[in-house]
Amino acid sequence: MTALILSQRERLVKQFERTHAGWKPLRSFFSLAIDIRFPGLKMDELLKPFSRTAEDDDARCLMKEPTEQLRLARRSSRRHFLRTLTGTALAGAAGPSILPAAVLGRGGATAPSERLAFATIGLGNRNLSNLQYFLEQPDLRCLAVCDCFANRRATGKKLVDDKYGNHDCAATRFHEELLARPDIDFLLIATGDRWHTQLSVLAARAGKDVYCEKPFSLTVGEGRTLVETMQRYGTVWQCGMQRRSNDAYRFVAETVRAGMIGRLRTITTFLGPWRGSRVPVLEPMPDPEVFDYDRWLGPAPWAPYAPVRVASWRNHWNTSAGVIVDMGPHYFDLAQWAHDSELTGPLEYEGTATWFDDGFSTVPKTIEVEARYADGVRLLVRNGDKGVRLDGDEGWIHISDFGIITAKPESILRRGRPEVSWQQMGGHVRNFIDCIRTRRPTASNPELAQRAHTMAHCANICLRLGRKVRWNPQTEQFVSDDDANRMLFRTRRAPWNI
Amino acid sequence: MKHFPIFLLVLGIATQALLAAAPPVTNQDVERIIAAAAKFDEGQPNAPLLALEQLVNQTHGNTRLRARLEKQLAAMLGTSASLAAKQFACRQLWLIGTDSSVPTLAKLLANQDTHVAEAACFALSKHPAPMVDKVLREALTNTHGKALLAVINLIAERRDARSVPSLAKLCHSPDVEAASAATAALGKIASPEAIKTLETLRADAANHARLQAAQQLAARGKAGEADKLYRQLADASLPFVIRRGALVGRIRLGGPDALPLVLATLDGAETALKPAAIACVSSLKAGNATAELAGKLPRLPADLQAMLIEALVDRNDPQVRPVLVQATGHADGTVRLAALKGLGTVGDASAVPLLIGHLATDEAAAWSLRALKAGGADQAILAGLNSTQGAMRAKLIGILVDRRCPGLATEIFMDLANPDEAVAHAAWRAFGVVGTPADVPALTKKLMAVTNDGTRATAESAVAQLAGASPEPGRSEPVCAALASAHDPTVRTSLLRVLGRIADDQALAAVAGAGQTDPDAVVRVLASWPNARAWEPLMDFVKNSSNRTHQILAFNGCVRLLQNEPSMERYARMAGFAIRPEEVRVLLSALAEVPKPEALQMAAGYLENAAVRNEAALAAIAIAKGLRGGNRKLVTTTMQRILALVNTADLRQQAQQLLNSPPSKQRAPTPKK
Repeated sequence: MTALILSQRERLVKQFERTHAGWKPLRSFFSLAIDIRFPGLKMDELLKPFSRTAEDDDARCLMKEPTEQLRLARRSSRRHFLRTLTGTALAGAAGPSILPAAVLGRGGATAPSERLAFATIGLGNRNLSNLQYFLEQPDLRCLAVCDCFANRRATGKKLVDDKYGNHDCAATRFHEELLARPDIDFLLIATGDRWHTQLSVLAARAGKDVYCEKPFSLTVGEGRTLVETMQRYGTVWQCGMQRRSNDAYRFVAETVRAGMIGRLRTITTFLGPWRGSRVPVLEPMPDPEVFDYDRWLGPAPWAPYAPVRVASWRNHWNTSAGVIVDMGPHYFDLAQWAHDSELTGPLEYEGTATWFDDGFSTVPKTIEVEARYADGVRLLVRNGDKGVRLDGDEGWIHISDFGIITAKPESILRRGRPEVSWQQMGGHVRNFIDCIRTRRPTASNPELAQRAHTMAHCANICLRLGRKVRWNPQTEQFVSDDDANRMLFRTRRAPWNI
Repeated sequence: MKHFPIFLLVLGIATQALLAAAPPVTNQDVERIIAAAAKFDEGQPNAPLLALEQLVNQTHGNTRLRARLEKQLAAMLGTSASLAAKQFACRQLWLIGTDSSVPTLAKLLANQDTHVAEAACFALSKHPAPMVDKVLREALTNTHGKALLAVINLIAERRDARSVPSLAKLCHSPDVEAASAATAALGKIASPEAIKTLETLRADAANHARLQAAQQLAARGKAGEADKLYRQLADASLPFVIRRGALVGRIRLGGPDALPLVLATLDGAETALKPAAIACVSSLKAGNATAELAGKLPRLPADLQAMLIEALVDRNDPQVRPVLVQATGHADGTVRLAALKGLGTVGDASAVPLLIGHLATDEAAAWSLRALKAGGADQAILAGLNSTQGAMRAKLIGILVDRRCPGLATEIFMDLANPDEAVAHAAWRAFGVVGTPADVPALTKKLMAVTNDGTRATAESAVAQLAGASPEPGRSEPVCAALASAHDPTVRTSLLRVLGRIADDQALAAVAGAGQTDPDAVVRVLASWPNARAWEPLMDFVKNSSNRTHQILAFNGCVRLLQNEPSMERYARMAGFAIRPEEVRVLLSALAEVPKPEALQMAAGYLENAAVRNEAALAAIAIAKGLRGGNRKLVTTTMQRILALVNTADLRQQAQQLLNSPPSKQRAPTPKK
């Protein structure tokens, strides 16, 4: 019977490790679940066979000197790398990696006066996860939460208050109140996509730094405006493309840049499936105190209230742009990183899509896009199990969304490979906080994020137009294609403007 | 006449192409699809809209049809079609609109329904014709509320300088939102008139607009005018965010004032501006910037020193090296860290001894030694390796491995037998990475000489890794040969373990052949074999060994191997040797994961055995669940037997659930391999 139990346990633990590697809260939860199911068995013993080794840590040191052009944009990434080395959570195996205060010369403690204060806007599932990582940081203090939904505001406030053991966290549906508070240093923005640029720009004008979830823009023009705004105000802005600070993804990028799969030929990104919706049923506008629909809609074109519209906002062009902008920026950023083309992008896009016929969705159901860089390297965009595969003359490397790496030749992996799930974002958060203090570019700074998002927008435009489009990364314009160029910008519903 | 065949060929190809292409869009199609879209309203399926969008795409390149389509879309805007239909029509005009639809859209700008006016703005947003600017300017006088805001914002996006007089008036409007939008628009337009107007305004929005105007001017190459604006915006009476923007913008203009401005900011009293100035250091073009800024270092607090050092490193200027060397001796850890890290980026080989000196105390030194790209760095680190011992030597070996230092294997070959365990361990690990299959014979000899248990494990890994990378057959030949000549039991055990990891046929034969001389080691190695090929030799232990421990190890090993590659024939053979309850339990635990009717029958057979009844029931339930509704009769019989024989409530409940569950039409899945 013991063997039976052990077999089940190992399978469960392996599954857990693969899917939630290193995320402390889940690890604790899982430990509890194991304890209930298998009383008397210790979690640490269970995980021992799967814990990381010194070889894994060493693997992160596969460095390649970046080009002069990229040094500025990437320098903070290197600093973060170094600080991770000096930190206690070396392999990222146990929760958010936190730079010890002693390393910063603060004698191991954070004075209240040195704490950065923040507020957060948007309290859906994604941001509740983000928020945990921010709350873990000893040198941060969350002062307020904001959402259009009353129940989400209450959940967010409780999360913060429980963390600090008080009832001080303010809750509001008006982001203007947060912008007006001089005691707030930065905003954590994780709203619906249509709000990301708008709120980032407003925050910058109010002198606040920003951590903003992806996709940060719905058009190329919107993204460029954000980049210029952050430059104008000297704002520190980090895009929530946390794979930039993930050791497994870094390993892949640097392996390719070091030429270990030979000359890069093809990058295939698998963005996962996309679900449809249904015909909206109109309902009376809810009480704004319960759900402020007008504010939720924000800069998107007006449409009457229907619960389906709210639940399926990712399925409509007015409020989002489907699977390509949802997962694309993460993987396109890795593609650019590995291909050493972070400040440019492919020159042409061509593809086919199938479309939902559910009566509501206006985004692609399935996608097949091929983009081509100036050097002939192909970028393929597909559905399929999430991950990225990079093929070269002499081998290939693949990373799943959960950070599991496979490669040929196997010598690439001989030194050990970091295996860090996308969910672990402590390092990305830490990088952002460090940059607020030093005013340096973040790991996912506006320019890098803009390039990755531009690829998503261009891919979408080629699918919407149903034909090949050619792109000029320097001018950020399509070549001789008036239809496509008109799609680079949308007006916003007043009073919202950027 | 002689070209007639070619003509026919071309005609044929053209006909084929026409037949293969989608049917051409006709005027009737346009009218039908637009009529359907005009009837659309929210709450209805959006198929008519999708058809319209597809139609628009199909008209690409067909000017005549597009003109007709545009005309029809514009006509729809004048009907009583729903807001949703009109919004969608505007979205199509956004793509294909020409001057012909502008008058219709102009009328919509003044529509009482703000949402309609906004839709018209959407349609006009990227229309390149100057006529649109004229229409929008006119709309400034006859729109109100949110429609007016939408018009102002669109004028700003279009950078229409001729609208400045109208916008200037709106800046004084009692409508605060309109005034603020007009002010922001002037900043985006950034014409001389716009800037002149902004200088007369005192509202906070004007400061932001002037900052934006300065950025626009800089982007247009008008550095002098931008600098003038930035200077105005540096006034101490203005908000911090404006002054910081002005400072950063002015430094980035890159003129002769940039360096003095950074230096002055570092000398100034406003601490909060200093990091922003430092962050711009890498963009400074002045040749003396590094030296001038380095001169400021001693007068700055430690945190700013660290920031400045990082910024100087980003300049990639060799002049910074002496500054970094000096800062590695700083009392503050943050400064030291920045300096050591900086040496890894801009240092040369001469920095190696210094970095090695810090290796024991500063992890950043290790990072820099790995990162150093300068010529001669490998040689300098190898030279340093020769003068270090103990933990530092081990660490340097690890660093050289990460650098893939040429010649490292030769340098550290003797370290494989280093009496210092850490060094030997590092050397073996290094060989696992930088070694080649050709090294296997020599390494096998070295492995035979290892006396430390901890080192031996690493050594075995290295040999197994390299042997495993060599081509088959013969990859285990050197180790088999060593085994044949080895007499020391510890050495033989070690070699057997290596063979167990190489795990090719030759290795299996060698290990199985040693069963008589080294039964303790052999049974353990076979039990850990990575594939089921070791099952038969392991089963020999179960059948023939007189040593009870070996029998148990072999039995458990056989079960483990079967879990990877299930075989009911082998399970049946094992059942004959599963005598004691412990053995039966192990067997049942494996069977539980085999969703086959034969496995269920075998597990059910143990229900009569009171000592293992519960485990048999648990296994049977697991198998039955794995069958997913298949083999209904067998499952029913077995579950009924469980209910009759087993008293445990949880098991009974599960058995009852399986009995109650409806039969599935699915076929039982094949077991995982």
